[in-house]
Amino acid sequence: MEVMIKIEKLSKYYGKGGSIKAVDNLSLEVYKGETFGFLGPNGAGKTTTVRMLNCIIKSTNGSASVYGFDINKDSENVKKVTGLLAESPGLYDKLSAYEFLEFIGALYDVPDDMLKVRSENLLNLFGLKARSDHLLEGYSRGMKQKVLLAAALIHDPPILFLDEPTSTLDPKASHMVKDLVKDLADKAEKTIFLCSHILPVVEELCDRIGIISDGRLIAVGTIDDIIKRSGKSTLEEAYIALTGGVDERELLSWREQGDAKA
Amino acid sequence: MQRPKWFVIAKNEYRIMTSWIRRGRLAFPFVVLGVIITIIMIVAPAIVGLIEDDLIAFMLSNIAVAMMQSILFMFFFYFLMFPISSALRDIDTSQTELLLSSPIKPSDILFGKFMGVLPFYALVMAGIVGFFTALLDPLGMDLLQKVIIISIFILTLSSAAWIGIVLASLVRSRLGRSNKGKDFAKAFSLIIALPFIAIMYSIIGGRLQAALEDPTYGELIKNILDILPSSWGGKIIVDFATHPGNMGPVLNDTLLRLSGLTMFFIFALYFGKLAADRAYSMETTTFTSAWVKKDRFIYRVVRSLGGGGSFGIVLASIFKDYGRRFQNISKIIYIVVIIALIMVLIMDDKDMMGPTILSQFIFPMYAGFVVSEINLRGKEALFIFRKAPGGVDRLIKARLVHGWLLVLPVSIGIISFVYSTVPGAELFDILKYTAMIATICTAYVPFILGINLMNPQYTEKESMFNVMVLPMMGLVVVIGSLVALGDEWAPAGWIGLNWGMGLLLLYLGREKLKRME
Repeated sequence: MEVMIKIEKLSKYYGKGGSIKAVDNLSLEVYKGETFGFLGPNGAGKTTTVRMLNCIIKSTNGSASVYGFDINKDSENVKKVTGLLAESPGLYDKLSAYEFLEFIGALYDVPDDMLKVRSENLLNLFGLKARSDHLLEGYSRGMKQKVLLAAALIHDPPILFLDEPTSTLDPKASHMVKDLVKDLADKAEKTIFLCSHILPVVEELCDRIGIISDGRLIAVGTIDDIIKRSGKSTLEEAYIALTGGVDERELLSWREQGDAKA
Repeated sequence: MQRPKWFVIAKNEYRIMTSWIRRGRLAFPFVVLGVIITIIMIVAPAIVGLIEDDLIAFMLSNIAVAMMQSILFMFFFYFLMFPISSALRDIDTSQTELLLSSPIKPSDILFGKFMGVLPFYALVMAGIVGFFTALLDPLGMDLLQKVIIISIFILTLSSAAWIGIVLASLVRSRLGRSNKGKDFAKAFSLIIALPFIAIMYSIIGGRLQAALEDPTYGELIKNILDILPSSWGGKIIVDFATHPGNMGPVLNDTLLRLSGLTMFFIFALYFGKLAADRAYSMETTTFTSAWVKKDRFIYRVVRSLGGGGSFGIVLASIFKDYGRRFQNISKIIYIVVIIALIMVLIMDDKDMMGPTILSQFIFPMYAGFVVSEINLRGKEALFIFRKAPGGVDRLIKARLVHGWLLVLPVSIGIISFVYSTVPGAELFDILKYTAMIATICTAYVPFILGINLMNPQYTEKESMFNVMVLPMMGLVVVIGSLVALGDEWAPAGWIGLNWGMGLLLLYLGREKLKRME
């Protein structure tokens, strides 16, 4: 299997003397045509990893290659072969959806004639054609998410990084995006690196998953493997067990009054 | 063929700037060109024609060079400050990730942004150049001299705009990555305008001219101005004014200064591009979040003022949220400094009436800044009060107390000090006038609160309309009362009208808040 993303002992430290380990010694391989799910609690290091792999921030230690390009030495080429749907990206609110796609396409050097056709096709696919001329400031969160997803696809990259692609979408749009991700992986042989908290989405789409906690990769494999290894019966149970379990406090203890009088 | 990346950014920037006239984007450059030609050919000569003799006399005076240098410095500072102040006021780094994940160099982003906004700067530049060429035209300058003067303005102002954009990006990148930084940026966006305002006021009030004519300070100011790149062109313009149509005697000096200015522009471009990598970064600067200590004396006092119970907690909470933002503190500093500048640089009053009238334009603005903060946390924050039993009235009560506690001490302190500096002022008069201003300022709080509740604006920029309504109304109230009631009874009109309108607007605002959806 052709390796598309190869991560070796990648680390990102912050603070004095690197006291805060956002990502610590991460090693991982993602293969061509694979949809890889990257899971972890809030603040575990998912976004930092995605940013390092997209050359947005620099790693402290370790190395990684994306489509054979070194993230530390060949950032221009890495950026050309990846599409990123970030967790909380900024849109240009004063541009229309079409203008925004045109802008992003131009940044990725999509030829003019192709850019026009592709922008229209993507807007059509996401059901935004009728409002493609409206300024983005008037779009709902879900519609903005669709535009951003279209922008990540505009240069048709071989590798896609999708951070919570369905979190703000309605069920119909979410279903469409899931089908799109499946088709991109199965029919177009795209490699997809997907970060999500929505476990049913991960179960439905991902061939393999990695779980990160406190910056360290604590499990990697197929979903069945991980469930089996954790001794649990569902991915949710396995995920909770691996990332630290549930706080066992009495759930209604907050109602106790102590010495206070009502 | 691939387009240069800076061109893609510039085109995008231009589209963003012209989003309000999307249908007329193609016609826009021609309209701008038409406006520029009209300014240069018709408007500027017409205005200059009115004061031509005075201006020519000024250009030939011994303070002309320093004055011209001061004016150029003021424009330079304005062009430098404008992008920084805009960036600080509305600091937003959310698009950085989008750009950094694309195959584009930070220097291309920066240069593209500069080129994208340059047409709009050009419009302002054209206006300035138009007035200066119209002003100098009657002196009989030749074509070469006019071209050099235009080049001086373009080089000076373009350098300032470029440096401003680079600094704005650096500051945005540095401060935009933490909440504390964003807050500090907003605070700084106001303060940064103060030097520009000080120069402007000193020109308006004639203090700069007086200082330049002073044998001691004049030389010092001229020497300082001479060092600044913005001044190099000022000397050339005055040289041309004294040698119209004759380059010979001033040729060497002109070439030297013009080369210096060109080199300054090239160096600014070069170093700006070098700084670009630092201007676009998403590296986290801090992982420490701000924390608070147990309530200190001041919050305990505020809580007691609110009766100590649940209303006291509401009041203290509003104070905490207000006081823990640098931007709110900076607004208080800003208004105090503005008042001081007006008093020192512009006003020269010999009686109590001058400060009394002026205070009715300045203090409403201060009250506006303080009270308009109510909507800046968004509609959802207002709905917290709507949801709570009796919440709307509690919010209004708390905001009134909050406004009075912040507006009254500052306004009373300033105005009593100003009154005390009026020659021959007696204690009774100082107290009487201070009490009157305090009564009027007390009315400003319900007035401006009512306006904000009736017309809620949830962003800093949009809320400026609400801030400016009261000073505008103040103008009508002050002049209307003076005309209708005369000097003696005008104060009664000021108090009555401000309180009457204030209570009415507050009532209407309260009803609007109850119905808000």
